Amino acid sequence: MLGYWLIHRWRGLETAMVWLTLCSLFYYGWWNPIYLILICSLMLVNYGAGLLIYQRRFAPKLLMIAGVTFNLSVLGYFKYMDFFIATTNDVAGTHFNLMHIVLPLGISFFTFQKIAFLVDSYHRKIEHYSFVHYCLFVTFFPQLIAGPIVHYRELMPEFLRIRQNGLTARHLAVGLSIFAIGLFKKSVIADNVSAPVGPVFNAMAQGVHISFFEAWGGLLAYTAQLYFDFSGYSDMAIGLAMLFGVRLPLNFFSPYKSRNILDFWQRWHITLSRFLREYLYFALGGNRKGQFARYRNLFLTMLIGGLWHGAAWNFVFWGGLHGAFLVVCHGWTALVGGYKNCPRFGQFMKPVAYAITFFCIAVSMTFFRADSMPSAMLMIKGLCGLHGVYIFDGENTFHHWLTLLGLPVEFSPYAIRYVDKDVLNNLIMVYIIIWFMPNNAQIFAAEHPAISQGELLRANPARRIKWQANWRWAVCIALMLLVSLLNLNNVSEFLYFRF
Amino acid sequence: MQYRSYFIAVLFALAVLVAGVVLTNWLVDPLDIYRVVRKDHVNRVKSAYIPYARLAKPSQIERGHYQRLAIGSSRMLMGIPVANAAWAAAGGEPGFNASIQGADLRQIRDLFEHAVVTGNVKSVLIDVDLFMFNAWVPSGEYPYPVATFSETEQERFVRERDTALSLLFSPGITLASIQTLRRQDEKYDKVMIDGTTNPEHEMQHVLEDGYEVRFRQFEDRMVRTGWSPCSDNRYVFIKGNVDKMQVFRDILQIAKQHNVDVKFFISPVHVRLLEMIHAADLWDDYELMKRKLVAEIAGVYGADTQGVELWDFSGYHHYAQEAVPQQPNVAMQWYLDSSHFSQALGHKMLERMFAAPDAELSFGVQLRPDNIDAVLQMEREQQVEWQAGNAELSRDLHKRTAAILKDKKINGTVCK
Repeated sequence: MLGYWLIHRWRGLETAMVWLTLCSLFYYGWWNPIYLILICSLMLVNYGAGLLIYQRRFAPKLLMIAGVTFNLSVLGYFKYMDFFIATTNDVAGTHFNLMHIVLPLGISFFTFQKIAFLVDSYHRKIEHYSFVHYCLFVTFFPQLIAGPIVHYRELMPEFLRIRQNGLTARHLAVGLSIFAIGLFKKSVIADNVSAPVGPVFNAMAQGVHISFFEAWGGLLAYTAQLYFDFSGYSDMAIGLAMLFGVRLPLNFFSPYKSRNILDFWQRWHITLSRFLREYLYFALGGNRKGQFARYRNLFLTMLIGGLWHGAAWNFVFWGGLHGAFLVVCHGWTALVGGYKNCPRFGQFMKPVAYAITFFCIAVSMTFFRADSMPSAMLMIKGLCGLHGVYIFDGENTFHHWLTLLGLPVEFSPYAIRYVDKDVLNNLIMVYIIIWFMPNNAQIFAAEHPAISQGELLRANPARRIKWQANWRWAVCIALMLLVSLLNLNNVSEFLYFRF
Repeated sequence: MQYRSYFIAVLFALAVLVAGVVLTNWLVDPLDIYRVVRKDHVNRVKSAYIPYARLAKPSQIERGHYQRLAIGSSRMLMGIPVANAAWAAAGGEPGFNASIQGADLRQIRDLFEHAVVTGNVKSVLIDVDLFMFNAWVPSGEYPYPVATFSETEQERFVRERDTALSLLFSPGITLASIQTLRRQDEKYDKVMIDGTTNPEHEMQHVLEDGYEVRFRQFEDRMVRTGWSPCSDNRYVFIKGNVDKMQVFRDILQIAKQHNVDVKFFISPVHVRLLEMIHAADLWDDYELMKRKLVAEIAGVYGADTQGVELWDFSGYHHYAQEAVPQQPNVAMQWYLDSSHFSQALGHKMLERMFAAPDAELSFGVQLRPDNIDAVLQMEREQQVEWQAGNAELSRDLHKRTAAILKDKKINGTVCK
């Protein structure tokens, strides 16, 4: 960062961008230098294709299709080859060996970015082409590994604005603060709330019957962990980019405060939803060919979205589940659309809607986390109480109240194998933060740190907690950084790195 | 405030906070590593040590340059007094108890290797138990960086760096420092300076709960998960590429190659626990474990077993038959629960192993290939005799074991 700022001051923006590109490539190559060859080759091929498409030199549509197919083939080889082989073995009874291909970091993200570039070139949405700019667009390290999925046409103007407005202390102050909060969410909250997740899901994978409270405790912990992990990473990406004078698109906006599943997908992994909508759903026909076609296209889009998250049938099922949720949501809206004029009904339904939406999201996370469909189904059975409802010996009052509710509760030392009072207390605290605290976009609304946050913020403005450059916030941010750095001594991984 | 001032304020505050944390952790020294300051009512009582014992022990071994080490599980930690005259005379000074609760054989091996690489240890005591050898019981490397014979200079640098970071700048240790400063009452003084747990503290807890409660809790836990986590109570020495005896062999080879005098012992558990081992159909495995240990020693050392001994203090002897008080606040002399013996019994074991003049020769036997059959036969005869004289207690223990195994069959881990 220091190099970028100094070079920008002495040599100008273009040289600084070259420096940033080289640093980003170094950062990517640190994990495995061999895959630098892959990313560089893909950059060359895609840039060349994009330029030729834009210039309409050869059959542009054919070239675009070839380019997209090429990118998807590369992704398919690295990410889905073993999935394809394993499925073939299961279905056809063959015994092909798995290839155990190492998945290049961030391949799912930069593949989609390249596809968007080619399609945008075809539709002439890109005005200015430069190989250096393109390399920076692909390799810009804050978003290289785990998104957000950025478009060339939105990232480059951000860099070019630096020519007009320069790099200022505001970028440092705001960028560092957003980064600090994101790091805190990831390394402190996400990593600490995740304590029961591994034990519960690993036990499930071994065939252990997880009881009711264990199942719900593990699932809610995972749902919270994923939230803070992903939202923390998104904040870190936005904060880091801000340190370089650049805004990234907003990718996360309190998705667990969604009133329906449609709202959820406008708040969760916003750039992925946008990509799937613009480049897949519309390509399939969107809603142009009637209701049935609309629902079919929606379902297919979500199925593919699920598969993108992971090469396993439980991810496909998760995507299909969300596709079904969306179809039901649209159908319900069409059904009760006439009742919008009845405000009392709307008021009554509002909390119910929030609860049902969160319930559906949480239960679907079972398939997101489980390592196979059988273990996911074991979890579902545990959630339904089919493996028993146990509480620890001595919790007589709790037992009394649960029995009054009609639950078949028993005492057992197996009750708190993985979920105990500390875990429950942590869960209560994190869900209070999730449901009642503002997110970073709201806290920093006045500084406009991210692209495309206007609509969401207008609908959900910040109320009490707003960032300001003062001593109180400085100490608060410093404390958050301290606690985050302390927690970095505990080994953890970003969940979305797997993609 | 201007943005630039804000940015500088954040960085300055962060630098001050980081330096403060490192200094505090170094001076308070909750894990008794650095020993820079040790003041009464400030940090003498290491009230936060026990949960971080695994982090502390390697550094304590490395910095202490101990001649004598006890490495093992909680039995060793609570029951073997390092300050025993017979052992000190034979092994030299200083001595340290490097045992950790729930240690498995792999972790014992790693600590042993670490001690040999980093220090000049001459005499080591290691306790071995039934739960350590079941290949179904998960085990892994020591959870914190330890020295190995094969480590390079760079690896050593990384290890020392990571250890320093963990000890001076980690969330757990920072909280431990705060807890240490807040809890300086004698009632929190659980660990002595030589690494052994404070026997008075242990005794106090046991008396409050009552021995019968403690015995039952431990017995239930051992049957449920201690020897075998499998719902069908399976016990094997080898599973796939997991061979627990190989780990024992490694320990022997390290000791032989580096001329370290090592004494293994099988703990003198209470008859109630022996009876539950029998009721859980694990007696044959218990005997097989002893046979295998003898065979392994012979395999590595051959006929010349100078420097290695295997002692068996288990059995239905008079110590193990000590009556368990049914009410709280009545003390036992030799036991804390079914498995953990008191330091009074630990002294007797050390006197026997190190040939103190007043050692009780009928307590404990050194196992060798030429006497293993006779020893096992004698233990079986003692068992039959005890069962005949304590039929009701034996029946009760068998019944309890069966009930726990039944529950385990429904709710335990399926071992595939």
